[in-house]
Amino acid sequence: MPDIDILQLFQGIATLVNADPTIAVSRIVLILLGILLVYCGVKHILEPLLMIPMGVGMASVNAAVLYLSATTMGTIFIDPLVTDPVKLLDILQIDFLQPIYTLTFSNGLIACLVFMGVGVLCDIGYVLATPFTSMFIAIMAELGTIATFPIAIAMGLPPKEAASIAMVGCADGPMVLFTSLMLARDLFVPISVVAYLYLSLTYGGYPFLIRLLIPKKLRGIKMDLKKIPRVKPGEKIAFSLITCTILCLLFPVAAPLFMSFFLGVIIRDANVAPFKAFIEGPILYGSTFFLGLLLGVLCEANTILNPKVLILLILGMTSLLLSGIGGIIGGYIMYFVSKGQFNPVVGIAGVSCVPTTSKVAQKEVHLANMKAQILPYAIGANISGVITSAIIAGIYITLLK
Amino acid sequence: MMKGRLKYWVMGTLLAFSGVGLVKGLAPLYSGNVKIAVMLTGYTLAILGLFIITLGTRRTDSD
Repeated sequence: MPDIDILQLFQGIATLVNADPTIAVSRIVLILLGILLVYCGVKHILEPLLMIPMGVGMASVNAAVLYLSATTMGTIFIDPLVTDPVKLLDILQIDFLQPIYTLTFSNGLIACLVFMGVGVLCDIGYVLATPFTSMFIAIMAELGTIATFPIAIAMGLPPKEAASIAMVGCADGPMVLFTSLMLARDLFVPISVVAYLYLSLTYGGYPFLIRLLIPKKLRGIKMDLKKIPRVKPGEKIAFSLITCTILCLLFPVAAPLFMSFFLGVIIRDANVAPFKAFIEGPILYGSTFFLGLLLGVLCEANTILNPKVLILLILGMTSLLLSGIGGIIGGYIMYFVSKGQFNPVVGIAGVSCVPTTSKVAQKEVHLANMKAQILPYAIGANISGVITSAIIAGIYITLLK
Repeated sequence: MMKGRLKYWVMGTLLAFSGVGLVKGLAPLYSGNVKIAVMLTGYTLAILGLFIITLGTRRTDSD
């Protein structure tokens, strides 16, 4: 009978036994984390659209490490670190997710497609109806993206990496992905993973922040919805077109994001039904699915194990927390300016996680006062948040690239 | 009413593009603090222009 090495038969286990202990432990932890993410997604504790593909990818890739040659270990999922064009051509034919990664992920296309989908979901009319309020709150909600930058520098990160992790404060996944791809390519995997994990927490964490900082009496303030002016679709299209052109002229490095977002907005208001259905269905859901799956697969222990991950986790949380606080301060300022007519909870919607923060704001207001409606104001601040975040991304990339 | 709103569109668009002109056309001709001042003015004008346009989209019941 031939001498059979059982461990070689099950290479996933063999590579675990033979790997460096730190890597082996990390792989086991990441497999368990992947399973936990799937559980949280299925139970709707975290965003299922992202967490299920991400969790499955994370668990599978860390289980599926094999011997690529006698001495090297790896997977046949993806190789994010390959840069040599000849090697890349080989890998494209071997690793099954490599074509999607190379052609849509590493050039930012998938971030832009998600942004296009976000554009189709956004009614820019709410921004035009209350432009000053919406933009003021959105700017205040950028507190995290601005204040975390010097904190990150003080913690020893170089400026490009500091700016990338500071962008987590805008709570906009595609934006963080785009910025980190532009500025900190070596760290974009852990930064994006931290960003997406935390974005899922906004739904669970921000309500506590609102309850902590705003008393129930103020949370229940009814806002006058009759004051909101009506805006024609033609005006929304013209404004979107002018704004897109101006922002692209000012920040050409962030032009793919601006174009994608405003294209979505214009298609929505032009009521081009086939395009609208295509973007908000296959494009948005397809991109979100592959984004989640690729982020999960990129969480292979060898790729993600970086001494900076702990710093990134702390800074990501700081940035998101500061942005939430900044938004609420903006809401309070508007409350005092309007002499008590403005509900400060709207402030949290300045954090540009569309439409999560709007929904969180409305839900909290509803819990305090069943008759209070703030959603139009919250959506206005939310969409302004997307625009200000893209501007901040443009400023960071322009200054630091 | 339409004429009244049109002025905001024209003014806002002109102001916004003037801002872009300052940032992209004029600022590179200078250096140091003058360049920064021109750029900041340009960015402010561009954003201000966009805000002015939004005033042209406001419609009351009489419209």
